[in-house]
Amino acid sequence: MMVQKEEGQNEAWEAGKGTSVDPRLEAKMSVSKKLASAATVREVINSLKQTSKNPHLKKILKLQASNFALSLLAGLEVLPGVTKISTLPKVVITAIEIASKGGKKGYFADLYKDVPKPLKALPVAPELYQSVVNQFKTYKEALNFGKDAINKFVHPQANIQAARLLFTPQRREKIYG
Amino acid sequence: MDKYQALIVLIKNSLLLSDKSKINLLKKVPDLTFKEVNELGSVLAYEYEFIEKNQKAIEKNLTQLIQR
Repeated sequence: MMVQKEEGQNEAWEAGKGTSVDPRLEAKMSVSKKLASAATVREVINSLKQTSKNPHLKKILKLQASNFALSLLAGLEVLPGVTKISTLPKVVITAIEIASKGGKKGYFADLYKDVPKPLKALPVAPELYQSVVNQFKTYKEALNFGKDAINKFVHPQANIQAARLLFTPQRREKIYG
Repeated sequence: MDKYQALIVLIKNSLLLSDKSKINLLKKVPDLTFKEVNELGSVLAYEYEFIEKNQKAIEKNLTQLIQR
């Protein structure tokens, strides 16, 4: 796969090189790791709700929801290496920065230029770089995919809705209670 | 529909998981404990909630990006 690299990205790129590129390695990811990843994401989302006490997370909330969702999309594939909540903001920002290489150069950088430096200094799992680059090799497809996703969620199929309700008791009570 | 069946539906329709991950997960579903089913199911159900709650912002931003 050929991916365009920027000079400033070289170091990060080299750090990620050869760590988690092998698709066979990805295929070996265990369910427990997946669950750990998902739990981490959930933890992040819950933490984002309590931004008043955390100025860094407050900044993160400025990130566009679509970018956050797309970053999660990429991040969930490899997040087992990222277990500390403090690394997630940087992960998201980095994902977006790299994503911008496949989109319009400088666009995301302009949007997030006020992200605090401490966040940018946080370590990021090298696996994520490769995953994000792979994900956004088809960046425009991802955007169209996002549009389709909205339509899908606005008008979910009955069986999906029913399945979802089984895992969200509060909502079920609200509807049927 | 029991929770195992529900989980299969959610995995198949997940937006967060790649096709490869979906296949791998679907193979493992019969061996998952009830607790694991609940945990994974809750996350996948939350996936819907997240997009639903942020629907307007996502739609607006995606439209802007696609039009650029």
